[in-house]
Amino acid sequence: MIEPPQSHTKCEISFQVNGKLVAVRAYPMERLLDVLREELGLTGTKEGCGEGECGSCSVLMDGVLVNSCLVPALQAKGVNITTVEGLAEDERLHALQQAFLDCGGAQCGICTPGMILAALHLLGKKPQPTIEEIREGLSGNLCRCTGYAQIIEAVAEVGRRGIAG
Amino acid sequence: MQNGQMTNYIIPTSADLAPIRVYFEELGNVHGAFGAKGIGELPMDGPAPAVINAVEDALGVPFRSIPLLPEDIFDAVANERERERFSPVAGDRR
Amino acid sequence: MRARPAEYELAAPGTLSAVLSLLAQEPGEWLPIAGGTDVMVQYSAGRLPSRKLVSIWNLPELRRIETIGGKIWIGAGCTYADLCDHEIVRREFSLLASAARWTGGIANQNRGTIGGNIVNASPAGDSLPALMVYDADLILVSAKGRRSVSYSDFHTGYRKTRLAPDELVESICLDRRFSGYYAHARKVGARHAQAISKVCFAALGRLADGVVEDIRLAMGSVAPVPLRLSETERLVKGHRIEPELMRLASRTAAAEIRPIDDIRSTARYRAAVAGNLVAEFLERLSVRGRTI
Repeated sequence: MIEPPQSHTKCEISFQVNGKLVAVRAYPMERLLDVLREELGLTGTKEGCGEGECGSCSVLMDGVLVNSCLVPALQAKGVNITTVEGLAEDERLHALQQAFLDCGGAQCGICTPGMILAALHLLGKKPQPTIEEIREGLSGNLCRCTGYAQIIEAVAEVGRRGIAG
Repeated sequence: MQNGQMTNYIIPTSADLAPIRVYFEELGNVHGAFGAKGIGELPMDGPAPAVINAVEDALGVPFRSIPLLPEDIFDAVANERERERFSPVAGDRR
Repeated sequence: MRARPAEYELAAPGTLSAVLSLLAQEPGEWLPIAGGTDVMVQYSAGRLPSRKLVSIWNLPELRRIETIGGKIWIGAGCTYADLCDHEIVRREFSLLASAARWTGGIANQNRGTIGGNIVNASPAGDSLPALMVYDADLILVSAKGRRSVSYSDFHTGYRKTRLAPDELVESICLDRRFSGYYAHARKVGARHAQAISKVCFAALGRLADGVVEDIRLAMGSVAPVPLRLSETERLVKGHRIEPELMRLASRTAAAEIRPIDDIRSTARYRAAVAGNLVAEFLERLSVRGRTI
């Protein structure tokens, strides 16, 4: 006889998102991606594949780029998450967001939040990356629309302008 | 579906693409208002045949379908070499 | 997303000994999950048979790298990024560092662990050929204690290993004796990043007076398990690298492997590439092996 699957209970998981402390009630195996989008309403982080292959769901977890579709909620306990919503300061866009606008770095926009976070991660390690380094730094973020040219240009532009804008 | 997972649906990453230069050939279209023509779909049709023709020109081996994988190129060239070995007129160029 | 989170349990006891107790109490019941770059993919696809998981992510006992007495101990919980960032791994075990840079994308390298690559036991695992040529020993740990297994003995078949149901890989132990070798690694995949390999290759070689004193070759994605090319090694060892030897070594390597046709490539292509990779290595060894 096949046993029906048990239904476990949610637990309280607290962590920081974009500098703010949050506490959610979630199943431990809920994906961080879904917690961000559904529980916290932060829909900037996208689901492109659910397999960690496209990078649309990229966030920074304790400053480190991860695919949030592969992080169980319980493993996010106590961490510091940055999503794309955390970049702009009030009305002032982050240098990366401005550069994407100026260089035409987005078409449909699905890859864009993940691209920006991957670029943020790269620029944190290499403030003035070469084109090769940008190509490699973004190679975990797939784009079907742009052919990457304007995206790479946008990141290079931030390298030139400086991340403080 | 043969490639139902993103891990098997291989599209280029930023580390893969060659530089792309875009030029607009502005000849005007007699059917469109003020000579306008859609540029969303048509530019997709040209690149694949162009690349395949380039590979064919480089190798002297015909290719007629996409996707053109390294495995296909390898097989075609290897088979062509076999044919040339046993052909009475070696070194025939198409 | 084809799984219902409510049906799954994820325990996170927080220490290695607590995890091992759990595994000892109910062996085979709890699936360890570290960075999740493999387990979560199966889970989301609705193809994870286990409903009970135990987190081993970021356990300090597993996520550390130490050098003691001529050896390096790499914790199984180290991420690929941890490996790339470590100076001694980069300098003395460059084949591992290269593999770590080639595995998935940067986001996956920040979460995927070397222990996960080992236990997952896919023949396409990028780090595995490197572990073979470096003669790695695995330290396996359970509530009952520790044991050491030579990595060359660890795989027993396709995705099968000697890991017992109550065990974890604690660390990977390598001798620090490969600085004098010429190291060469190549991964052939469908694209330059984020590709499961069609063939992946790790090689070490050392010349003395132009003669191959030692040669170690290992390949992934060419057999049900990562493969040491022992026949090809035997052929080359003790000889000078000359064109005829390189041709023979290529043919031997292509014949020694057992590749298949699959979604990623064909047996014929893999065999040709394998032979070419060996020839390329020998050519470079003959030139660069002299200056080490």
